[in-house]
Amino acid sequence: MMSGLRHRTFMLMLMLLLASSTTVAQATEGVVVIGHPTVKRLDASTVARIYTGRVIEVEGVAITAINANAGTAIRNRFLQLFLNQDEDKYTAYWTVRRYIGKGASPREMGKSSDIIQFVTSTPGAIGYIDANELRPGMNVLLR
Amino acid sequence: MKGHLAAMALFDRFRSPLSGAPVDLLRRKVAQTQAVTVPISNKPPARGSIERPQPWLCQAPREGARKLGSGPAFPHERPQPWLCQAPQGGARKLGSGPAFPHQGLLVKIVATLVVFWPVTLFAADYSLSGFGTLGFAKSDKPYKYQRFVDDTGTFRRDSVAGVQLDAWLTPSIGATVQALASPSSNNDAQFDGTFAWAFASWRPTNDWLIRVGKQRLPIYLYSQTYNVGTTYEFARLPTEMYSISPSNDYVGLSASKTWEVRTGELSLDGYWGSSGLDVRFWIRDGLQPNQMPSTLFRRLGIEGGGLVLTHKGVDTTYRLGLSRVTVNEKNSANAYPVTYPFVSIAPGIGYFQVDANLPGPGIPTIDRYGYRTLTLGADIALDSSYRVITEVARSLVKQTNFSNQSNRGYVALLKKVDKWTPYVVYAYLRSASGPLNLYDKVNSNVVPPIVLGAAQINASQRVGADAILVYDQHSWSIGTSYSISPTSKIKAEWMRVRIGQVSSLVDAPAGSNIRNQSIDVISLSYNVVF
Repeated sequence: MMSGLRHRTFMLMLMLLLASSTTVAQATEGVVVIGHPTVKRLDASTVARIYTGRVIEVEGVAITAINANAGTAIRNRFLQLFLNQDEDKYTAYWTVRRYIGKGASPREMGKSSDIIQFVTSTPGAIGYIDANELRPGMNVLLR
Repeated sequence: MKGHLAAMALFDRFRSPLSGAPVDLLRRKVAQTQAVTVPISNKPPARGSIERPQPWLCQAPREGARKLGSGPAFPHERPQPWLCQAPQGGARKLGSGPAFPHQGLLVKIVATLVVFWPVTLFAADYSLSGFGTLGFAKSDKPYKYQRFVDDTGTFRRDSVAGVQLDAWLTPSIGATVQALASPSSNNDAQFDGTFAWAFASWRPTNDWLIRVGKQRLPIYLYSQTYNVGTTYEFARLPTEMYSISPSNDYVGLSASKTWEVRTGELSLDGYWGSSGLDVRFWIRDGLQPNQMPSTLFRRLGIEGGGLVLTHKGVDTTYRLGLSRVTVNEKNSANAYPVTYPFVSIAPGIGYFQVDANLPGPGIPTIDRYGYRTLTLGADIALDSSYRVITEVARSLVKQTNFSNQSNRGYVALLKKVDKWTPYVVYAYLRSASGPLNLYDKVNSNVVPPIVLGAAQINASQRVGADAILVYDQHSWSIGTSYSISPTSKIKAEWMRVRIGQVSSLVDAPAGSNIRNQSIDVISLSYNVVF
């Protein structure tokens, strides 16, 4: 009886764990943070702090972050996955930050090809693209 | 007659401490009445006395105006409250601005472009942004509240526009300038252009930010974004809290250190600098019949600094601020009054010496006074939709009753429902007992007609009372904001203000006291950033 209960509990926990792993995999799937070769791998927390202006240099390298244009699907996914915010909240955050004199939101680019071009050619630059657009030789910082 | 004799005795005893001459209205009148020859001193006025340029209220009436009434022949014949006696480098009478009302604004915009255009050429990166609010407010009273709001409605109270340029020479070195167009701080009839921000910044590490130049004070939750309506849900930040600060910006140095903590981010901001502040007085009666009721602005100098500790969590913000500044007369060697001494004429009869030319012991003065403020603020998300915002402040001034030392605060409950954020706010503001009591005594003291010159003494006392900034009011507001987009909001609000003993935010009609009255204010605004 007790053995059966323990078994069911174990199975339930295993299912929950698998489900959560699948969720994480799905969440990070599709958005890849890329950077110039001068930038080393980043964790999600650091990426979030960069895109909220709280980090401007990592290990001595000045960071220039690039955003996709507001309203694009890739940007919405990025904000949700890495910052746990929607566009309204993110815009409101940067509006306050700008007008308390603490900087402006990252520069925006419309095409992923522009983001790739800028990131690969600008020391310290980072950006994010859809995983499908990842090409060999790109410096992946977080996926 | 007994009163006259007592007054004569006083006149012989005291001399005007400012002019040094025993010339005053009371003496002249009494002397004329009793046919006594009174020697009028030919001694030139002392420095800082009546020969200085004076605001309209204190200037000699024009010939045309004097014909209308029986006013004194010389401007210094009438008692003048201290308010009228300082050099008025910063004071400006209504309509005395530039010929083209927005000339100053245009000059500043052009100056901004001239100064910052080269910066953008050398900058590695720059960003131009702007904001604006078109706000309409209307009350149910014929007299004005908060400078502009009455029953005719106004766009002046809440409308504002600004542009901001951020430029970076490197990722860690930058400059920011924000030009602002808003109602003038020293003229009710004009819009004016100012720089709310104009500073250079250096961020040596992720955790440090050092700035030099003109900046906004961080002491309240919204004091730095006061003019950017999209950064808060209220139609107007609670006046009781946000309109009484001794200054909202300064030119100086600030340093900010940030720590990442388990619960979020902790930051400590320190600042030091100086600023000028235009203080507005409403002289409800003027000095009839020559001077009409109107506003008077006085320029004060402020120097000091403070510390602000802020904790930001995911959906919460807590803030503690301490500031210590000294306040003095800007561009003036004039001293600051401490109080109005009471001069007894006879048992139960007397007056407050609101002017140095009135007989009395003299108005005690100080060169400057200290102004300390403690602020506490919290913005707490109760759950995904409810939010509480509250701030309280206590300011303390020991040396003088002529300051806006007060207790103030507000608490607001907001609920987010999709794009709507309805809210209710309770706010209060009450001056310290010293200024309130002095105002009450001066304002209510009446010299009986049996004393010669009583009418003008009484009028002067009311002007003297108007020179004491005092507040006793609270308000309830119910409103909502509607987010049209992430960068624009529409807001609507109904507010009921209850005036208790008095409020210097009210322009009381001539001859009246606004007390124990309610004012209803309806506000609508469109707010945008771009």
